[in-house]
Amino acid sequence: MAYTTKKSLLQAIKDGCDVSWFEFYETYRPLILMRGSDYNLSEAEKKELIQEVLLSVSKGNKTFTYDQSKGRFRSYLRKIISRRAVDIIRKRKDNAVSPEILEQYPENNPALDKAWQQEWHAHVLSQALQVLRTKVEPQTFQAFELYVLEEMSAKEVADFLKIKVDMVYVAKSRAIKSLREIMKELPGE
Amino acid sequence: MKHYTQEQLDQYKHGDMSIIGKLTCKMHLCFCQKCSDQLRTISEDDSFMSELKNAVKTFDVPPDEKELKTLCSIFKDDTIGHSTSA
Repeated sequence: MAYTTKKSLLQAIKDGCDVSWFEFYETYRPLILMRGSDYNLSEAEKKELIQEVLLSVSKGNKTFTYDQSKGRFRSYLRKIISRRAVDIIRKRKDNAVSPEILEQYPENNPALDKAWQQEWHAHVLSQALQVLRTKVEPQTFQAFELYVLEEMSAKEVADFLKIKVDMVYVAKSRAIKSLREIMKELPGE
Repeated sequence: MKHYTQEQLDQYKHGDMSIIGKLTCKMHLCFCQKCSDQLRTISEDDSFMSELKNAVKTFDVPPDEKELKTLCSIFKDDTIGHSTSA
């Protein structure tokens, strides 16, 4: 089954659906860039990291299907990014890489593991928000977005959307309830 | 005893109640365990919202047309519009 919408890419991966390289790129680019920063990669190296991770995951094909026997996708992706990042560091010219630098990035580095947990959680949250947009009424989402993300006061949101202040709080409550449900359904959370 | 709704307690917590409404709610909370517990869950929700806000800010990375063009060429994919936000 081809996967075409962003609605549940994580779920599609988990369910073994075909995922296009572009969907994967759009969804995971920020996470890969962030991980590149954890490995102190330069901007050019981070771009290379994106390419290398995409090629590793898709094996050069336009679409890929995640092999469930590889375990949890979150762990698989962490490993791929980590290995490609270390490969990029190793490739640095002029012998700029000392063994000490590479020793900072073993497969199981508690600081890097902790950073990954936080980054993955933030990634899932941002994906859940995308799913929320498709699951609640447009006005509910707009009220929630303005109140929570744009930090407008409930009265400002109510005036802007021409609704009662009470309804802004109702929208917030509905959105949070839906978000928690979406988070439970997303793999890895 | 009549309890407050989650939305009413949220309004109380964020100062969106009238002065009289606020005082009445405050008195009610002094002896109502159920509404006090509900108020605590609203605080948890607010922490959750704060996490969400930070996540959205962190993942708000501007698209890179050049990078996308390179990838389209690597994957030999001419179906992706380069103006598509990444």
